[in-house]
Amino acid sequence: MPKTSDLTKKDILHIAKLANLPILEENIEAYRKQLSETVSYIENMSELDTKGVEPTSHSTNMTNVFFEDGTKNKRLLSQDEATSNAKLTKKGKFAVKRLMG
Amino acid sequence: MDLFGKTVTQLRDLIKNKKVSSTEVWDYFAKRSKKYNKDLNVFLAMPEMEPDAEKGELSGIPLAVKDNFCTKGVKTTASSHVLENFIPPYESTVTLKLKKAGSRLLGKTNMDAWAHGSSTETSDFGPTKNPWDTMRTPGGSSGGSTAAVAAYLAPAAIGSETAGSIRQPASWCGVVGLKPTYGRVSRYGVIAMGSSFDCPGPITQSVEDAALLLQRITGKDPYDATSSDVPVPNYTFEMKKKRKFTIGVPKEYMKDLDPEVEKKVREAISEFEKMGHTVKEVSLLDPKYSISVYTILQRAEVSSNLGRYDGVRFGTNRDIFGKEAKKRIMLGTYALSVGYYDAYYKKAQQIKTLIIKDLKRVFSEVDLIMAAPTPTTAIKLGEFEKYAFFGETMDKLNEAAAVAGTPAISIPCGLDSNGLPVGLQIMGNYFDEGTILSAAHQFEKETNFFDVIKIGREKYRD
Amino acid sequence: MKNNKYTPVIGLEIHVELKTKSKMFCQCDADYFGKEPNTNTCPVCLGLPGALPVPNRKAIEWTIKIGQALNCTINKSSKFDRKHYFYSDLPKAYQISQYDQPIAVNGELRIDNYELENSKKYRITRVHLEEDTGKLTHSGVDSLVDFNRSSVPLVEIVTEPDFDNSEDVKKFLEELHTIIKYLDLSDANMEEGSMRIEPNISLSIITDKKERMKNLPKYKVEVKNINSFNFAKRAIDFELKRQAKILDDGKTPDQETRGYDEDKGITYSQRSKEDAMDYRYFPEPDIPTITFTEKQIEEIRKTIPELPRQKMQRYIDDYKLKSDDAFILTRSVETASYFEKVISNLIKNESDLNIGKQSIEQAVANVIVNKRIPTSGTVKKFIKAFKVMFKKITVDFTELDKVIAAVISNNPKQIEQYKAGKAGILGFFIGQIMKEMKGQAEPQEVKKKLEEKF
Repeated sequence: MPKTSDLTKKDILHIAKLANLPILEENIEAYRKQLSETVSYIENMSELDTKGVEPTSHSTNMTNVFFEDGTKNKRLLSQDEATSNAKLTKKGKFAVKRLMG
Repeated sequence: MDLFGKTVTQLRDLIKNKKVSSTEVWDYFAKRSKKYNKDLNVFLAMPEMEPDAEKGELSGIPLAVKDNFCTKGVKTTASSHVLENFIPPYESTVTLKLKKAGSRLLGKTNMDAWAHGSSTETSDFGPTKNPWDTMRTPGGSSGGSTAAVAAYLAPAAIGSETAGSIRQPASWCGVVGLKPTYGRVSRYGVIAMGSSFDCPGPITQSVEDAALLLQRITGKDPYDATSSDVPVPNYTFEMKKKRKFTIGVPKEYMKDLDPEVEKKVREAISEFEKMGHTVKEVSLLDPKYSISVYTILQRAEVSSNLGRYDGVRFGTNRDIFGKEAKKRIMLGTYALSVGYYDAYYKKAQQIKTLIIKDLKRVFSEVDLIMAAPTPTTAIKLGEFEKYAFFGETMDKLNEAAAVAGTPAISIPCGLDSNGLPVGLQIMGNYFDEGTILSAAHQFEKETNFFDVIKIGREKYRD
Repeated sequence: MKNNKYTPVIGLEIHVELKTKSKMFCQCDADYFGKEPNTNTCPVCLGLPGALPVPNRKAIEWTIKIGQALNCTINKSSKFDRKHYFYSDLPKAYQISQYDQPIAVNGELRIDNYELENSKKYRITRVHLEEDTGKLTHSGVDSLVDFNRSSVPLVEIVTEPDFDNSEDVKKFLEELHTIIKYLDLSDANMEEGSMRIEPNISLSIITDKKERMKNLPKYKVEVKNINSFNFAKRAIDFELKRQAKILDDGKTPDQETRGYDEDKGITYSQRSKEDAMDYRYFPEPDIPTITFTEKQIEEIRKTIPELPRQKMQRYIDDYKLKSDDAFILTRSVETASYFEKVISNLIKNESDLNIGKQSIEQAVANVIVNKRIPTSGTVKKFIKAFKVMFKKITVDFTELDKVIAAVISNNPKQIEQYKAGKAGILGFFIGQIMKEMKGQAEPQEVKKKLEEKF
């Protein structure tokens, strides 16, 4: 397990960017501390030997759950319903302030 | 007719026998809710009465629903400013089933924002107060739902649990809270927190009501690929069986408890012995590992599930997320990022395998596992900041079942010296809600510990 | 491009939109074309809070089919993963795709250029299934998003960097396109966006192929916005020139994504791939794993029709067609099927036709390939015209002799030319005679008679 109990400010900024989360400069230190604390706690996972243990994604052991192509669509939304919660729409489309670059 | 304290089962019978109309029942609860909501801050939205409900088992009975269930046409916020104006254009499977069974939506209950928390204090709309002591929290994240039932603002409620979010607040509010097996109840329409953990479940005054509501909301859903096709038994029938069980008490779960909680829980367990059940000590993996596993996996899923809130199709901008949400999103992002996936996410999934194996091993020796649902009773508002890893500490006894996906219930078993309710947790094997309900029901009927519920709501009797 | 210093290293990423009825994870129509914006969505493909994906079985089966057609190994156990990035046309902020357990891996495609023996082989790394995004357009200061296309099933085919020139890439794309059309599971139309191609291009100084593959260049440039196979070729050629110049200057081209401008015929920088995107893949918790039995995989394989290369081989072996005729006939499944219908109808009436030494199949092939009778009409119409074209001729020999005599006497000059040694002038006579006979004569017969006469 990487010795990462101490995340740096740079780490926090990188993570926030990846997560598309605006964080204020004055809060970075608080996040850094809290995240570092949590990370050092969870490092207790290294105490358990998991060599050869298969990771479990789904606890229910289900497989092959599908729907049949062409099944009637009972959930179709009208344009009004689909756009009903948007702040901004233009001619039925969702509008976003243009991204630069 | 005095309706105060009537269970859903009793109200249904009264309505069916025309002793009272469903409209009268609606008015009764609507009035109470409006009256006490100012102080308790239980409801975030209270829609108008749906006139045409009531054909079906639930006869128009009003239910409180946690605000992370999408209710068509009714504001659904997950207690976050990010969704403060969100009106879903569709209905969750659980609330649709309840509607089809004839119930009415009394109101959407307050919760920890995005279900991130164990006290309902991270809600962007103010904390819910514990009806037992309004200086205390009701627990979380389904605190609004448990408080609603505890103060009898609703005869029953629906909550959801990712790890402890039904069991813990149910114990702090002195009511019954059931977390079904993962996949037993459809998650379609539940605002996702931890996709591989989230379980909708009933919060009620009696075990009978829990069985009744559970019956209405279970079943395979074609809209949820993780919902199970294991046949659904008749829970009321299962509940009424007076079987004797072998009960395991994990020694690792009896450590670090508030001494009064430990005392009450041990007393409750010895009652089972008196009733003729066999009790033995068992050993489970130390809960501290479940905490780590759960923390990593849940936060990874949270960081992923909350990505869609970008303000384009719904909601506000991402800077509106509260501190707790941001913290969790960041930790989850970190755990999934390049270079850390194997060390954190994959490792956690491997330990999950060990936890599942461990529980299965114990369930091959016993029918049920009993413990406290949480180490303490309700804490004071604002006190959570004293605890490092507050949520994790509060939920550590819930996390094994959360991670493994096994079912569990919390039922009231007494009061501590402050007069606050103590809960007993009963865990069962996969899809064995019937056994849990039977044991809980026997406890309810053969002891008077359920009088706890009556004490709690007395000050809300009009 | 002739630059002996560098060898191109090109790999392809191809996306094919499946023409299932329903979308990949919900029951909305997969056919979104021409619909009013945001009228073809539901909570799932719109990414609303609480919505959950359930996979379309047929889309999975069709992906297996494509994998099999490309000679891949089908993974008995497969899963979906979440691929995270933020963009307005991606409603959940993650795309449900496949990461480390795709449906099909390790295939290959052989490309022929008429001669089957001279085929080139290209390795297919993987074939996987994912969902499409919404459509983002720009309008002034705003970006506008329409989610009608969101979550349509998309198959991604990735090749190894086995290409070393753009012409081969073009041929590969054409063959792949033909195969997909034969399978009838996508419109595979580049202009409409149901087939998309993104080449990854770099230049290597290593000449030996094996060595080059072991030591790939440290950079690669991805090119997007290519709307036809021709443009793919041009974009690659432009890129190779551009990169060569940079390398000549002693620098290394940036690892980046570039767009292709078809009007200017250039590529331009779009976004830097330096900060290699961290997609934070993890297994999709909302969808259980997918497993296939050997039997199921075989059942799917059985539904694959005869593919172009097989068909071409059969035309050569069974019908003795020339390889270039067989190649042309098999380029489109419609043409091949038309050809097969025609010959199955004609075979019964073979003896009535005057097709000389060739077989019926060869004759029909020849007619189709050289467009002597259009294939736009019905098979019936074609056969009628074919029968007319190759009608057995009944020769009136007395008439013929008369005409031969007449034509000879009317063209004394040409006789002189023939006698002088111009043997080719015979053609003139044959032409004239055939004209007079209104085609009702055998040119070979006429030639013989003329030679006798002279």
